[in-house]
Amino acid sequence: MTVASVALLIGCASTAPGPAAPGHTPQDDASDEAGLWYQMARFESQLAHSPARVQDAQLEGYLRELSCKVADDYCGDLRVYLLRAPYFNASMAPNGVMLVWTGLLLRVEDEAQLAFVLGHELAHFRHRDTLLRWRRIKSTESALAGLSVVGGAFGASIVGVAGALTGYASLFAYNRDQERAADVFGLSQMWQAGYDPTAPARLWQSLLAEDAVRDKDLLSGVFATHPATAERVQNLQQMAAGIDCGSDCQSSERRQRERYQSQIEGWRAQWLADELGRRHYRQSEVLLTRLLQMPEYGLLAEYYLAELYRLRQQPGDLQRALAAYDRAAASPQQLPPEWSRQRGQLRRKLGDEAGAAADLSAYLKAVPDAPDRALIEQWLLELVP
Amino acid sequence: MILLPRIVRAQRRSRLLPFAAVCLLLCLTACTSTRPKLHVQAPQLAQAPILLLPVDVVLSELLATGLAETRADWSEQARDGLTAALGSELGRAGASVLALQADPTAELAQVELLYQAVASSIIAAELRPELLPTKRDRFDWTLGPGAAQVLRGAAQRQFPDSPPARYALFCYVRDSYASSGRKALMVVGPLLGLGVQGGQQIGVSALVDLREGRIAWFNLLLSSSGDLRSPEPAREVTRRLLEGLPGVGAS
Repeated sequence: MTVASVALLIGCASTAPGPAAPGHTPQDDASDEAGLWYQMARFESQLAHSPARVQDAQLEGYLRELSCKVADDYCGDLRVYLLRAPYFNASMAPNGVMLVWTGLLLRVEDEAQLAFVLGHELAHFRHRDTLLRWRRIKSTESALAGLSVVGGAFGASIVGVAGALTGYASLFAYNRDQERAADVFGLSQMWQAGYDPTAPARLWQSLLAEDAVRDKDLLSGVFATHPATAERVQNLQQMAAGIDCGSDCQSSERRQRERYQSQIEGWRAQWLADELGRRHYRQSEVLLTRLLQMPEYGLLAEYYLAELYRLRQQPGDLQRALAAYDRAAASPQQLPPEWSRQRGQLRRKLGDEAGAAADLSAYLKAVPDAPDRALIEQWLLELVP
Repeated sequence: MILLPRIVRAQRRSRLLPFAAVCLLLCLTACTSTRPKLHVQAPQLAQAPILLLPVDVVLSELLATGLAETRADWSEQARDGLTAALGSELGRAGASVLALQADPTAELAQVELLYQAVASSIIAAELRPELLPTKRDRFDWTLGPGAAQVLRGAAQRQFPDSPPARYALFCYVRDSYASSGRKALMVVGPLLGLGVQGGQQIGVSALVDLREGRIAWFNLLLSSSGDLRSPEPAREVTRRLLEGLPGVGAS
């Protein structure tokens, strides 16, 4: 009875907005959409100078160029920013700001896969999904949830004031129908731009294994809002199967693996180090094992696998770490210069004094102005009496 | 894919909102309070120009559900109105105002974030003195000389012909207004055993001494009245925002 009368009071129909045409901006300054754009414009001006943004004109330029290729008529509506964050994620704001996270670039294998992700995000802009979600939140179903908060002692103030931001944040989790529609649109856009339509399914297939070992107690699940599901892979496979592209569908021309990999060449070491910083070692181990198979990563993946074992320190991990360092050492020029210090430290810990001394000396030779020089020299004195 | 929450959260941490939300708990319906704070030495407004940083304003409509929906039209109008009213109020006190246009340099963006962090700490120290015992009896906050230098530089870039700015004024306003559905609920709510609050206003303003970066004056405004959407009440809000500044504010 009470609930019913309240629902009556606040009942408001949600209207579904149609798709945004290229060059779309909110027409009515007083609308909810204009409000979302106003907030996003403030966010974007902070984003531009954020230390989290990867300030690399070439890489961001590459992302913008590729997004334009996929977006076609919508090219002028998108502004792509690259964020340094070790998770598989990309997001689309209602005003055309697209965020791509470095953890996504680390997991993507070729340009076709990336083109799909960009097309998927473009769909959220085109379908005005943020606005749609906001209107759903406002509509009666969610209103009841809102009221239960309001009923709490101080609920009203907290929801009322902080709501603008916290409520806003939750806008970015779209529902499954929106996600599926974005998949369909993204696949069609990338296919029309000349890419391999089986790429999306391959991408999600490779992510399945990572998601399978997700530690549910850790907040840092790598796919925060988007679990990789077998269903999604299946849907993407079906969509690709519906496209008749003859025999050259999966040609290297349509995948552009080399072009993509050459763009991220200089970044892999940093992104792998960031990945370990998540401390979700089970997932990182699955990822690194996959990257080991890729010629572009090869020994670099081996080295970070060694780092993972050294950090994780479960029974047997130090031996595993040493073995992985040894394998990586076959081609030291591919590794970050501090690799010899890392192995030297481990050897010292395991009692291999001669080996430790050799590594640590090699480190000081490779990095003459090492910030930890004094410490390493002291160790060397103790190791070589 | 999608999700901004992490970033939004990270930003929120450095912003004033969490403290502001706490502040509001202290301020019940239909009340206004300001808490002006002065550095030991009162600022001399007539001495040299004041650099007014772009005022940070978001106005929203409080929906019946308690959600706040940002209103671009109100926010833009209030931003322009506040900027003009701040200029004329300070002008009456003998100060000349240089209204800085958004300046896309990374350095200035960092100074604005630094200011937000300091302002949050000031508010925390004000509302919960036990958190920062060393600040209990003194108001000696500063952005530091480096930040002052960046602000002086920004002033000089945009106003090369003006005498150097002596102070910088930061102004932050968040305000919400009850929608008609909300207003109805405010009337009916109590009958159903629900406490329903109307719109709330939070203002934070600070004057920074550009010689060394010290916060010369600081004011926290909490109110549930005062409409920034129409000119006359907006001037009233401006006067409240500037309260305690020698020569200006509510008389």
